[in-house]
Amino acid sequence: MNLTGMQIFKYLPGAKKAEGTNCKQCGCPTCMAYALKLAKKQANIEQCPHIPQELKEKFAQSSKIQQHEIKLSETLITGGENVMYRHDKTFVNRTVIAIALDSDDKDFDKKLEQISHYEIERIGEKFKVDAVYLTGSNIENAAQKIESAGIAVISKISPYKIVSAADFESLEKASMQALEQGEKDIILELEYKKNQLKNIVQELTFIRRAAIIKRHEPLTYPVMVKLPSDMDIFQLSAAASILLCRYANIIVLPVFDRALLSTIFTLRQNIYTNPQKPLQVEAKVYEFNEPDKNAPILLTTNFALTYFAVAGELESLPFGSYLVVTPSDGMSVLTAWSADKFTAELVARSVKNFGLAQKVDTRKIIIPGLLAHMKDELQEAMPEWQIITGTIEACQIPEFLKQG
Amino acid sequence: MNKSDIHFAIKEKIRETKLVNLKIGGVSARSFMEENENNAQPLIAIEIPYILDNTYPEVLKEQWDCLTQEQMLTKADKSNADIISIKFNLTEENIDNNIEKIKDFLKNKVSKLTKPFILRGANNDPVDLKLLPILAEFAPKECIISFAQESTYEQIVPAAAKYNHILVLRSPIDINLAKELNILSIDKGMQPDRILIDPDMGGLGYGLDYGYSIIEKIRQAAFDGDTMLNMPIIAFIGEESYRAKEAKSDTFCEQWGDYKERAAMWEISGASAMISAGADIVVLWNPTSVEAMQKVLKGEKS
Ligand code: B12
Ligand code: SF4
Repeated sequence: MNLTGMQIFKYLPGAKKAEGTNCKQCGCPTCMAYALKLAKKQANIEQCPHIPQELKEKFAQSSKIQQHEIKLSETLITGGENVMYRHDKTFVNRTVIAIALDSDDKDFDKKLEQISHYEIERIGEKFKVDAVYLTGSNIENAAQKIESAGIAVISKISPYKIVSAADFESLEKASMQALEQGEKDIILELEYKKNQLKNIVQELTFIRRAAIIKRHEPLTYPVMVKLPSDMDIFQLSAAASILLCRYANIIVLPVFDRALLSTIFTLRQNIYTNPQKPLQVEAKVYEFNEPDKNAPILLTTNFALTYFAVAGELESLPFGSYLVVTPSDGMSVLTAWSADKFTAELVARSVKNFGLAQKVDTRKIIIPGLLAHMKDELQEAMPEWQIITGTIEACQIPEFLKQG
Repeated sequence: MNKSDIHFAIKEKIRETKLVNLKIGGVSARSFMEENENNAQPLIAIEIPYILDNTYPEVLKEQWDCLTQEQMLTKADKSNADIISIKFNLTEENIDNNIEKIKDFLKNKVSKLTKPFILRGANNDPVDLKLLPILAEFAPKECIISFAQESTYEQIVPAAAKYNHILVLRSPIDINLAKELNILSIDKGMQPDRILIDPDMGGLGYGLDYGYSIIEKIRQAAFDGDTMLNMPIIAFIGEESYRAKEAKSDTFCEQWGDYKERAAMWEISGASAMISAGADIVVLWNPTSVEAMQKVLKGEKS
């Protein structure tokens, strides 16, 4: 954590009414004003001649980086985390998901093609394999192919130094040596060896604490863990999920498996969502597959998850449809309803403001099945529309609409 | 740097309770850590429905490879899960006709289980108000009763307390509501050491992040000394996982991968996140997930 204005002020003469109080030598009208500027990094610690040694040390400590950011490619950054828990602020740079490939593998080209073609979309975001962890004797040639497919390469010829060790102490030592040799960009590789997952999580947790809480330079670099090839894909999904939550910056998977990747990318999307800002979409009327004036109309909230669950179904239909998305502070259907962000009055007002009646001839609106209990209330608030209760789950919508 | 400089200091450990011979909770550090004296393995429960109907995902029926609920029960008892959970998925329409059958089921089937068990209601207040007191009274031995919430605890707490069961208290993803419900239930006669907190999380991809952070916050408050929040935490992640289309539908494009694989992984990943956050028990639906989780947690190779 950086020092706050108040924490700095406590050490200044002004706080103790000591000699120098508000003497203005720092260029600020008061000690308090200087403290606030210092906290915002708009002033320099040398400007005040009365700063006690203790504050100087604290300040030096708090200005150190918690975790360095390392560029794995032009567009891919790892590291840069600054909290232990996502709820303290948010996690920053998403865990890099890499796949191990041997440049001497006779199926190299085929495997690379699979990897580079993999792409999924979830809640409006596209996910691809971020990087390849490259080994073997033909690295330069192979690296070029991978990079031209738009995927980062992690290998011993990468422009950063990879230091490897199997535990906290040895990794710290190895990193210290690299720093002494003048290395600036470092990746810490925590070797899995014959360790249990539990031991790996323990070491990762200590390393992250040393970085975030103590800003202990040798451990303030991103940490990479390569999962062993003797785990089956289900165990890999558990291990990768735990490492994603518990402090690996880069996870290298020993195999390419689509189900595994889709699952891990979804977890990563969850864990790296900023807890202060739920993902939301614009409140308006969305159109799917060029609806005509008689196309069905559905209603939902503006929580991104909710919207995309419904939109995905409507897109897949062979006919057009409308989706009315109400402003509901990015809350799911029932959450919005419980928090009074989805009231009959609000829905009626949105439908009116969106000018829906002018767009269509239909006068039927399908509401989420979870809001069946709101039907009468909505009907009363919007007498010109017929309210129809839809299905509980979005994936049942196509069946429901096909049956008319 | 010495690891002792970055030691995780706690004021209070998590309450420990016993279910027959199984130790629940009692931990004094974050999951997987061993820095304070007392740490336990998180527990894995396997859940089956009381009535196997067509709302139960097809992909799971295949995984179980069982035709009846009775076969599922036998298979669950032989699995490597630590606990068996039975979800009494009854409705307001069929509850009254089933009461005697349920008593019979408890007496003749549940009593034969070798593993400790959870008896879980339907998550429907009128049903649970009738059902849970019966489950508490006729359970063949001490068990976990699940769950009471704000609208039902007044009736359910006395029943669970009378027969010395462990009771799950569910509150909607809010640390203050969780604490309040604990306090209210203790006032009603619940032993603080016989409570499990269920923060009611969403599954992977469907609000998991909220539940994840609430578990972390509850854990932190407990270690900081809040004795009204230091109960073990249980997460019914199986049920939540299989609400998601990704976990049960084969209509996704090829890039999403084999759907049977994904069906297990979706649950495994959610369970792994819950355990990472601090859950002491995760309740799963898919036997493949149970096996994989146990192997990873116990460090066995495939
Ligand atoms: C995550 C979550 C939260 C998050 C917010 C998430 C968000 N951005 O909305 C937080 C923690 C903030 C939260 C808060 C609260 N929550 Co909340 N929350 C949940 C949880 C776990 C998941 C919700 C979710 O994200 N679902 C996923 C989305 C995609 O689902 P959905 O919007 O319903 O959409 C699906 C369907 O409805 C359908 N669908 C959607 N639109 C349409 C349209 C049509 C036409 C059709 C046919 C279908 C359809 O498709 C989707 C996929 O199938 C649920 C419990 C649960 N497991 O479901 C409780 C839940 C919704 N919350 C609840 C409550 C009570 C609250 C609070 C009031 C608690 C409190 N007192 O603090 C607050 C209210 C908010 C506030 N005041 O700030 C209750 C609601 C009770 C009820 N029956 O109404 C629930 C059900 C939990 C419970 N069992 O008690 N919550
Ligand atoms: S120079 Fe130092 S002591 Fe003088 S006003 Fe500025 S902060 Fe206060």
